[in-house]
Amino acid sequence: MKEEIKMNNIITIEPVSRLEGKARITFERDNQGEISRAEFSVLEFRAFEKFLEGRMAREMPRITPRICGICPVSHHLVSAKATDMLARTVIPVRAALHRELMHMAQFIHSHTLHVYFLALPDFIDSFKAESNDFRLLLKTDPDMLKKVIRLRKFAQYVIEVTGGKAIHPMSAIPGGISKPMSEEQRSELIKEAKELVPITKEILYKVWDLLDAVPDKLKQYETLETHSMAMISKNNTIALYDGEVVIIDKNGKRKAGYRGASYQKYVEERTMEWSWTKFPYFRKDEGEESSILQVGPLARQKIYDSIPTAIAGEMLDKFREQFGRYTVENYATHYARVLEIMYSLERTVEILEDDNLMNNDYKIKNKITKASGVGLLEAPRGTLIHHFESNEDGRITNSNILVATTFNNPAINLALFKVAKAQMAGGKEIDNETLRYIESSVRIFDPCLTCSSHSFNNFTIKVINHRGETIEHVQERSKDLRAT
Amino acid sequence: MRIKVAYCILTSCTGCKISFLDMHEKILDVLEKIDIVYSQMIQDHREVPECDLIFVEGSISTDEDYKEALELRKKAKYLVAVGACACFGGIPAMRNFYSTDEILDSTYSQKKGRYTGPNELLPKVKSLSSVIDVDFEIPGCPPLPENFIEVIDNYPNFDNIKLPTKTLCVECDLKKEKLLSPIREFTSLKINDPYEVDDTDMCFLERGVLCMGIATRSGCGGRCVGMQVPCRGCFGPPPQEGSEDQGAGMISAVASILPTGRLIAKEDILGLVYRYSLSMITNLQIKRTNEGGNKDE
Repeated sequence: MKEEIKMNNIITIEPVSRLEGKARITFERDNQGEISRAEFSVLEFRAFEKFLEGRMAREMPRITPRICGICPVSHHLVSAKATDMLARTVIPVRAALHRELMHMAQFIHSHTLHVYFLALPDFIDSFKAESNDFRLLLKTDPDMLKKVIRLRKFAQYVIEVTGGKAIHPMSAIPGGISKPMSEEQRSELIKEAKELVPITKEILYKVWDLLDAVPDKLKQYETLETHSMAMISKNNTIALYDGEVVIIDKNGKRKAGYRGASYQKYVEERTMEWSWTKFPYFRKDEGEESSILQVGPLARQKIYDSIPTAIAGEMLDKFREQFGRYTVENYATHYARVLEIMYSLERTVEILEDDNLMNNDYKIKNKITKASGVGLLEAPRGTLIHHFESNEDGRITNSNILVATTFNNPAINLALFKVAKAQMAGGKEIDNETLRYIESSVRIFDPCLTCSSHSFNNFTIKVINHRGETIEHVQERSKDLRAT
Repeated sequence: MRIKVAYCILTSCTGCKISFLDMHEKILDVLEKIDIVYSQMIQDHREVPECDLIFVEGSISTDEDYKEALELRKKAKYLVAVGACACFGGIPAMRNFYSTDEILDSTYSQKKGRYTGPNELLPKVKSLSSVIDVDFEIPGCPPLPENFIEVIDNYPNFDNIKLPTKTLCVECDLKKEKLLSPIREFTSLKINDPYEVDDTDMCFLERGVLCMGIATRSGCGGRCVGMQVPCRGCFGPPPQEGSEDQGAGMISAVASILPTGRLIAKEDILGLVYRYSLSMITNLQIKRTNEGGNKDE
């Protein structure tokens, strides 16, 4: 709660505003007044992996949503997918459709929240306002705000119908879902979803235009040349619920792909003492240098070839015309997020109209014993992995949670450093405007800090102090997880 | 005069804040009554000013949380604890099963005591209500959006808000037979996994499935049990004097109606009965020896 405290050459910004969770930004200037160091510190840590040990494996989908209140559905579903594997079940189509529907609704809710409530205020008013927040929309475009609220309300209602509760749902269970929706609920949802398609198209193109109209100066988020990681379907189309996870380099060349526990081959991590969140990197073969990974809407856009729905597909063409597929401009992330809202809504209609949603089994009775299970999913912010091991009694013996914002953490820090270096060159003081530039360079990743501070303790670990020197190098692998 | 409101988050998942936003179109009416002066997630203000009403979500997990809680108490005329974490510790308090050394060693895989992190983890997670005086509590993981509206509508006469105080069983639509009749038998001869029993409209305890409803405060509308999933206690213990220990309440209730021998070996009983309220028993001392957190001091 201290605003930019200046101590010698250290500048602190706390709290970082309009993002999910608590963070502090620290800059250090060298004697010439140039920025020499930038740190994005995540300030909370809740030790989920530790206390999940010993819990009943079947309870995972009920506990892990509490990792995040914005994307609880992602954690709920990915845990359910991992526990399906622990229970050695392949869930019925009907259950998979219910889960995917819940997931699409979550994309709409989470992206809408970010685009209209967190990010957009940066683009609709001058930087002079004391606080840029969604209430500005009340003045500039109340009609749009009402439509946005209606869209988010629909999305949260879909989660409530399919998941039981809009926040921290509980219906995805090992082996399927606990209760399918009724025919009345389905027709109610179809009606609203169809009405919302043209409305959503309208408000999304409005944002598109607003983003286009932003002065170039603001668009100068530094370009980032990183690897990208995202899920993809069999036909190389967009896949958010199920598919293979692919890693590409900055030119789009495929570097790796995995479906299960082999994610461990491709990722290594580092720890910094100033942030609870770790720093994962793509690991190449022995001896080669590791690279920064990016996940999320822009990374997904680089990886999928096409989007199979009409309006979102059209938006994708427009996007690629404007930026090119392998763009290094981070600003394009906003557009990639916008078109995912459209895809999610169109896919919602498709699923609701699929008769498999209403027929046949929706769960398989089961009991978890000794097993290992990996759940993979594209959360709104990027690839999400839950990896569990259970014993004979069905208790968790080992858990590993890899969260999207954690994957983005090195890129966030890099972007922050580059923007700060450019904006505060020559000893320039932080004013309101600079502050907004700096913060929006972080905000564009839509970081979810409550999610991010998790361990994955089975990798090569380098501990780096604040000067960037390696102070410890541990080669530690879990015996159990390694074997899978 | 609009009420000056701040919304502050300690160690938490921000789910309560999303529940606040889930008032949807009603938020436009609420904005007529209140003036949001601080909310990090949706605004840029960096300092909490003196205000009429502060909603605080989250548990006290780090030294910074603790300091912030004391400071917020000073700034607020009225302070409302929001959600399971603030009211009784919530899920993050499950780390109280372990010491901070164990947690840091396993997570950051370093030699003992080496990793310090950007702030200090307190030895045990505490609820907000055990550290400072709060004027009202809205429980739940997360609370209902309506609860926020009620608090704002009734400000500052929170006594007028009548949150349900009985156990979840009164809201649950599942049928109870044996539970309600004075019999000496167990309600089920076997304790079952929730996902190996048939769906029926019978009470979970009568089907031999552990359901926390019997020791949990009502108010959620019974949504989990309505979805054929047993209660896990996120509304915490009922508010009556003497029932603060949700876990003990659950164990004593279950001991008389189910064959509990099997539980000792097979079930993660502590992780079930204290899932949301572990901090209430691991911090029993704290309330008594609370140093300097009180508003009136």
